[in-house]
Amino acid sequence: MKLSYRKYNDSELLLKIAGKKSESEKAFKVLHQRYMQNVFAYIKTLIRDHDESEDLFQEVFIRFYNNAKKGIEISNVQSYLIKIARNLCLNHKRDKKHQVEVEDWHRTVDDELNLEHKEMFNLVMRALEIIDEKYSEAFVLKKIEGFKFTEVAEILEITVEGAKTRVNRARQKLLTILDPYINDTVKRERIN
Amino acid sequence: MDKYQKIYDFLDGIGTEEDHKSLFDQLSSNPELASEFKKLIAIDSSVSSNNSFFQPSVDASNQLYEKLGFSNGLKTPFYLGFLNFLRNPKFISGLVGSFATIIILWSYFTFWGNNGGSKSDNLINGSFISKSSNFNENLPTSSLNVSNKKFDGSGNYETKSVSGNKNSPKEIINYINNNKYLFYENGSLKEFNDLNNLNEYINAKNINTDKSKIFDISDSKYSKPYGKGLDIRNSTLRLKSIDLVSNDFQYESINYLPKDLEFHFLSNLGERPGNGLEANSLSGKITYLPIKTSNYKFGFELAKENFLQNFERQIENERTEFFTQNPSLITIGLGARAYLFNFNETVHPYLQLFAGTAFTNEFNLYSGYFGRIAMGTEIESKYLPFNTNIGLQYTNLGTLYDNNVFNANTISFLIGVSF
Repeated sequence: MKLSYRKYNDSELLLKIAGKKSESEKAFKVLHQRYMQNVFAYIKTLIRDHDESEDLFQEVFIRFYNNAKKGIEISNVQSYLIKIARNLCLNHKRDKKHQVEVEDWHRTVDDELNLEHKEMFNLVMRALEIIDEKYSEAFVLKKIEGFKFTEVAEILEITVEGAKTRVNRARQKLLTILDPYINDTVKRERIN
Repeated sequence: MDKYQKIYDFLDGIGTEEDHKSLFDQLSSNPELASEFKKLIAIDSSVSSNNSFFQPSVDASNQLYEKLGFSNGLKTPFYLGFLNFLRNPKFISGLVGSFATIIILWSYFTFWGNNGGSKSDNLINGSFISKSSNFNENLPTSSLNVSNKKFDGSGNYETKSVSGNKNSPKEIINYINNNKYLFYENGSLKEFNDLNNLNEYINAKNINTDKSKIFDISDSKYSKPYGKGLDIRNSTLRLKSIDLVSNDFQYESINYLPKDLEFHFLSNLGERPGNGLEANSLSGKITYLPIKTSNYKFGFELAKENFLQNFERQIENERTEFFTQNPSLITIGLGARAYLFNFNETVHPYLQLFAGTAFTNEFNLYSGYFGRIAMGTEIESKYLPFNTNIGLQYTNLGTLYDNNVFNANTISFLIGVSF
């Protein structure tokens, strides 16, 4: 039955997507539910604009579905989705000659999160906007998406060492930018 | 080596315990590095695997599904969740690939109140007909309106009407049932088993028969309107009275309102000679159709349909009586359903046709037929293990019953589920 599709792993679901239409739809929906946050997080981090991010988000899954339907071999669904997302984001930026807009990250932060955590999250997101994209992207893949360095390297088509370097560079830059704010936060924590 | 490298490795979960111990030794002896460590921890932990912060809108997902031609996953109301118990594997395995439909026929039928006094009479025309009294034991008292039409000898009828409460319909009806003769005397009716007894009574009491008459109940006519819908029925008794002086006969009609409200949401008008009414009682049907996987599907059905028909029938001596029959038909047939279009990805309107044979307890497989045409919709639900079907169906069926052609038309609601 349809609810049991959640029990299938990615490979089994990919097989079903390539099969009958009724199975294909159910299998796709499960994969979509499974990875939509990852994909959207990645796109949102790169694109910033919420509406544009949602458009690209839909396009990613449409391309994924069409390819899966054709039976194209996909070894890692999450990584494959992020690769599609990356290509689309890069194309989108190139086409639009994208200018970074300052996005109010409060829109996306869960209101139930504690204020300081939320504040730090917003600070980091804003800082990521102004550092070199190749570093921020690697940082997002590693820290937000939770990919291993080998997967980050594969997605960015660089070496594992290169991936590590980019993530660490991002950290350094974030540290530089956020230093005064973090100091302030630390002081407040001590007072409390 | 970058002075932060050990911190980075620690944050990324790289390195051995010894490496981490070395890092903490370093941190304890280097306050500046410890401060940087704390800041880096704060940065990492604020975003670490926090993609739950990024939630696309429900609209974005629904639009995606629509673009791919999928149902958009509109949520089914929570109260339907209890139906999940139907997902028992054994239950489902027996029904996978099937479609079950229950026809609910509303046919609240109260034919003349209490029919409990029915009796079997196999002698009438050699057929098996259940002869019912059809008369309520507790009829409401109502006015007796007598409309006399007396033959005046010149080809005309003189009409006069009498109203009063002297004889309730209940009394008269009881007399009719017992096939007795009535003597109308000074505004009241007396009962006699036969005409001789009546004459003896008249002679013994030296009654002035100029003002008296007898009622030949055997020639009574009882009529009752029939129809569909909400119906307040007016009934008429037509009695043949014999004037003992002139030997003229005349008919007297008694009209009264039985106060029976009959609501025939569905009814069937049959073709029997002298038919009054046919009405469905509760019937059931199981239809097997696979779940929607393409724009059409084929299946079969098995149904049992019960009818109730009440009708007048004239027998040998021209007396009209009322009878009740309960034809119970079994239908077996094949059919197909075609989906017309996708209304909004979850709603699939369909047209459905079924046809086959219909037979009664007499079991002549080829004696009858049925045909059904239905329009409805199959509704998908994201959270239920089946689709819901609703529709409206027209059926025509006919068969031989009691040596007559029985034919009925019904309109019914379809409610069912698809697995």
